[in-house]
Amino acid sequence: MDKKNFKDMWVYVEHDGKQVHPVALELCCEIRKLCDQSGDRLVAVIAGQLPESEVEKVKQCGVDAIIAVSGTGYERYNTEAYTNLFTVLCNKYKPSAVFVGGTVNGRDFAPRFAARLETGCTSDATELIYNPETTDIEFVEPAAGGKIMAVITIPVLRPQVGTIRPGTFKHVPTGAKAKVELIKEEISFPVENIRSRFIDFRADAFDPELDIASCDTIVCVGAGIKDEESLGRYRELAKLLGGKLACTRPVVDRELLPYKLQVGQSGVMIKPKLYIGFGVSGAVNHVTGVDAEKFIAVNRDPDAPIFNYCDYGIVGDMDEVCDMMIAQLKK
Amino acid sequence: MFEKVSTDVIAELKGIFGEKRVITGDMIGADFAHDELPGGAAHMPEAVVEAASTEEVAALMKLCSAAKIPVTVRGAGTGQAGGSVPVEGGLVLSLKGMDQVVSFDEQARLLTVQPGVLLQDVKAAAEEHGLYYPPDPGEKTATIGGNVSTNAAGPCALKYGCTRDYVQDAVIVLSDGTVTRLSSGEAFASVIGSEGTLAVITEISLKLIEKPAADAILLFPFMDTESCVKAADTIINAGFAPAIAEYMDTDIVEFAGNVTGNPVFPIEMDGERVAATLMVTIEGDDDDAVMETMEAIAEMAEDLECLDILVGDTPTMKRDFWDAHDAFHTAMESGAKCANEINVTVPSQTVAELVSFAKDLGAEKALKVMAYAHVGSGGVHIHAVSDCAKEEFAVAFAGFAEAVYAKVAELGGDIGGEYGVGYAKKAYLKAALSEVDYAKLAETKASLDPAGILNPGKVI
Amino acid sequence: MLKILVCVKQVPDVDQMRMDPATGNLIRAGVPAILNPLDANALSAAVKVKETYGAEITLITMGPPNAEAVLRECLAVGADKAILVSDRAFGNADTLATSYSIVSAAKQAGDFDLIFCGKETLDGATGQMGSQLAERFDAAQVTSASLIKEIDVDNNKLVVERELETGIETLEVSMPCLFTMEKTNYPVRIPSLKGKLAAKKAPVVTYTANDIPGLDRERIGDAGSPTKVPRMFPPVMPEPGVIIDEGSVEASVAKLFELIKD
Repeated sequence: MDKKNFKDMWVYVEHDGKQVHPVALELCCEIRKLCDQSGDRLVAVIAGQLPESEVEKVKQCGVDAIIAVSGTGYERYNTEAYTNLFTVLCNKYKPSAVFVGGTVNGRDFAPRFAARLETGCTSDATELIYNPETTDIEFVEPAAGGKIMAVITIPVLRPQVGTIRPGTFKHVPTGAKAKVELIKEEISFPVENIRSRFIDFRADAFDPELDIASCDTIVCVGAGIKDEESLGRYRELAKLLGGKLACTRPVVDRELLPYKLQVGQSGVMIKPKLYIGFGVSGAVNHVTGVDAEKFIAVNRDPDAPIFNYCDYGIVGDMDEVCDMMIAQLKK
Repeated sequence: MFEKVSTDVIAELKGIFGEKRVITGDMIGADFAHDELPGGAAHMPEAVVEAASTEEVAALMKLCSAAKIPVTVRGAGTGQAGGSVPVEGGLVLSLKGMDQVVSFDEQARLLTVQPGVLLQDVKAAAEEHGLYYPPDPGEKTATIGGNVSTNAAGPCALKYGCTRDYVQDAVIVLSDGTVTRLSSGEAFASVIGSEGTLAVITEISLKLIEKPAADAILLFPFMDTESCVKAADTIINAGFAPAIAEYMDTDIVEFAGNVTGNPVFPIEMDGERVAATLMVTIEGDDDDAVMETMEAIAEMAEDLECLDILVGDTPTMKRDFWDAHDAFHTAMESGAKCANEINVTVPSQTVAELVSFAKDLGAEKALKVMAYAHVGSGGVHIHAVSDCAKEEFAVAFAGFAEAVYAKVAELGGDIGGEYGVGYAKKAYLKAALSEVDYAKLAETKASLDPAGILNPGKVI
Repeated sequence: MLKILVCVKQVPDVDQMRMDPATGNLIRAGVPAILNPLDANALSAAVKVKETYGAEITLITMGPPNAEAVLRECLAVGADKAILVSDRAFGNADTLATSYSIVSAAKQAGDFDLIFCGKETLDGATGQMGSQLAERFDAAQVTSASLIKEIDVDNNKLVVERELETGIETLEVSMPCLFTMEKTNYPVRIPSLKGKLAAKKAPVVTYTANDIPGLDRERIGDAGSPTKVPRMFPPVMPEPGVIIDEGSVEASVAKLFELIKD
C-alpha cells in the first residue's frame, strides 16, 4: 500500500434527519486545521436527508467538499448499512483519514468498517497532530486510566480511522469556502439485510440535574469523597452557586453517582465558567474533560496533580472547605 | 466550678501558640460544636487551640489546670458518642495538626506517630514497610489519637484484638502539665480508651505485624438469625482462626442496598428470604492454604445449616463486599428521615438474643430496627430508622435506647461498645457497670485529673 | 441448545498504578491483575440467558499464562469451559490483530449463537473490540446493550435493549449476535464455594499460535497491528495554580471568593 495514493480527510456527519450532531461540527473545525497543514481536502460525508440550513452549518466549518449519499438503509442508524457505506466509499475514494464522532452509534460502526478494511482505528484522542515527515496523524490520548499519555499512529495503512468524543474540540467555524464541491453518491443497502430491526425508543425522562455538559458552574467531587452521606453538602453548594454536581470515574465506580455525571475523557466533556473540584486527584482523563474559565481545586494532598491545573487551590479537608463555602455564601 | 476563658487567658494562649493557632469567637468553625453523633446538640467552645507539639500541650495544661478551664481534646471529629464535644464549654484542644509520622523502627516494627495522623495514613505507612496495622473501626479518616482514646476495635478484633493491643508506649500529658512516657502499668492501661478524660496523648508508638499473604471472604446466608450467629461460633471454635466473623441482618443489607443501588449480599435465595448472612474472612500463607481452609469449611456446610456458601477471593469482589458493608453505616441517614444508632459490646453467644430483643422492641415503637455485629468480639451495631417527625423519633429512640442498654447490662455486655461512652451514653453507664467497677473508674479520674478539667461531662 | 461465547480480559487494576516520577514510566509491579469489571457483567448476562433458556457457555481470553486465573474466576459462576489463547506470537496486538486471533481460536471450538463482551476494558478503554469481533464472526452486533429481553430460539432471533445517550432503544436482532454489555441490569455474581471448587477442575484449553490451523502469522501480534505507539510521555503538568492559605479555612475561603467574585 502506498499511502501517497490516499488523499483527503473525512468527517462523518452524524445527524437525526433534522439536526447535525454538534460533534460533527467540532470535528470539521479541528480537522480543517490538520488539512491546512497536510494539504489534504476536508470532506464531509452526509448520508440520508438533511435540511439545507444544517448542511450550511457544516459548510461554515470550512469543508472543501461534501459527499452526499442517498439510497436505502440510512433512515435510522444501523450497524450494517453504515459499515457498508464507509467500506464502499473508502474503497472508491481512498481517503487518508476518516473521523467519526464518538457517540454510541459512531463507536458502534467505526471500528467495524475499519476491521472490514483491515486498517487501524483509534478512539478518544484528545489531541491530533499532523506529522509532515511521516505524513501520519498522531493521535494523542491518555492511557492507563490517565496516568500516562500515549501517541498512537497508523504508519503503514490507510485510511486512518479515529473516533473522537463529543466536546473534545471546539466548534469555531472559520467560514465557508468559496467553492464547496458536492459529490452525490447513491449507495443502497438492502433493508432486508439489516440484521437489527428497530422496535422502540424510550427517551430518558429529562433530568436537568444530569445535564452537565452545558452548565456554567460545576461542583465536582472526586475519589476523596467519603460516602453517600457527605454528598449532600456538595449538592447544596452547587445549588447555592446556581450550578450542578458532577464527579470523577471512581465516584461512579463506587456507584455513588450515575455515569451521566462523570466528567472526563470517558464521560462528559464540560466547558463551565466556574469549576470547583473537591477531592479530585487530577487524573489526566478527568482534567482533559474540563475546559473552565475559572478552575478551583480543593484537596488535602498538597501534591495532588489537580493543583497544577487549577487557577486557585485550597489545601484542606474537602468537607470542611465545602461547609465553609456554604456558610459564607449564605451570609 | 469552671472558669470562663478570659481575655488574659487568651493572651497567655497566644503566647504559647502564636496568633494564628488560637481561634476565638466567630472565627471558630461550626464543626467544633459537634461530632458525628446523630442528633447531637451543638456546644460551642469558647476558644480552639491547634497544638503542634507535646511542649505546647504541656504548657496549655499547666495554664488551664491553674485557671480551672475545661479542655476537650479533638482529633478529626468523627466520633459517634459526642466524646470530643465541649459540653462544658472551655477550650477545644485540636490535635489534628500534629499529623507527622515520627519514626519507624524496623527491628522492633514500631511505628511512632503523632496523634493527628489519620488511621488511613497509619495503615498506608505500615504497608509502605510491608507490614500491617490491623485495628479498623471502619472510619479511616479518624485520627489515630481518637482511635487510641476510644480503644477502637472493628471487625478484625476477633483475630487481631483492639487498638490497645498495638500501643507499645505513649507520651502523655497529665492535667497539670506533667509529661511522661508510659509503656505499661495501670495508668497506661487506663488512659487508653479513656476518651480524653484522664490525660492528653501526644505521641504513640504502634506495633506493626506481618500482613497475611492470602485471604478470602466467605458468605454464609441463613434462614434465621440464631443459626447465623451460632455458625460463627462453630467456625471460630473449629480452629479456622477467621480474622472476621460478621453477622449481617438482611434488613440492613436491603436498606443500604436500596440507597447504594447494589446490595451485593444475598437478600433472597431460591425464592426464600434470607434472614441473615455471616461474612467470614479466612487467611493463610498462600492461596492454596486458603483454598484448603475453604474446602474444610465446605465439609461443615451441613452442620452449619447455611443455605449456601459464597466466595469472594478477588480484589474486586473483596472491595465490593467491604463497600457494601461500609454502606450499612453511611446509608442510614440518606435512606430515612430519621436515623440513630446504638453501639455496644455483648458476649458473643448473646448477639442473636440482643438483636431479636431490639427488633421486637423496635416493632412496638414503630421503628425499623436493623443490625450487624462482629461476632466473636461481640461488637453490635443496632440502627433504628423512621420516616416520622424528628421530635417523635427522638422520644421513641430515647425509650428504645434505654431499654436496649438495660438489656445489654443484663446480658453482661458493655454499653461503651466501640464508639465509647462520650456524653451520649453517660446516663446509662452507672446502671450498666457494677458498683465496684464504677467506683474504680471514678477513683482513677480523681487521681489523674483531680481538677476535673479534662473533657468534663463525659463518661462519668 | 444455545452456544454462548463470553470474551473476557485480564487487566491491571489501573487505579492502583503509579507513575515513577523519576523515569515517567508506569510502575506495573505489584499492581493486581483483575477480571475487567464490565466483563463480569457480561458474564452475568450470559449466565442469566443460560438459566432461562439453557445454554453452554464457553469463555475465551487472550493473554499471558496467568490469565487462566480470570478464566477460573468466571468458570466458578456458571461458565462451562474455557479457552486461553496464549503465545508470545500474539503479544503487542492492537484491537484488529486481537480480534483476528480470538476469532480464529474460537472457531476451533465451533460456532456460537451469542457472543458477550464487556462494553470496554479498564486499561485500553477503546471499546472497539466488540465491533471488530462481530465483524470477524460475521455476526450482528448490539453495542452498549443493557438487557436481553427475550430470545426466540426457534426462529433464531431475540429482542434486546441498548443504551443511547438520550434513552433506551429496543431492537430485534437475528442470531448469531454479539453484545457489548453495560452493567445496568446484570450485577456481578458471587461464586458459590461449590462452584469455586468445581472451577478448579474445569477444562481450560490453551491455544498457542501453532494450535490454530491456517492462522495467518502476518495478521497477529505486532505484525498484524496497524496501530503503533511510537511514544508515551507523562502528562505535561502545567504550572501550579495559586494555593490560597490564609491560616484558617474560613479566611482562605473568604479570600478565594474575593478572588473569583465576578
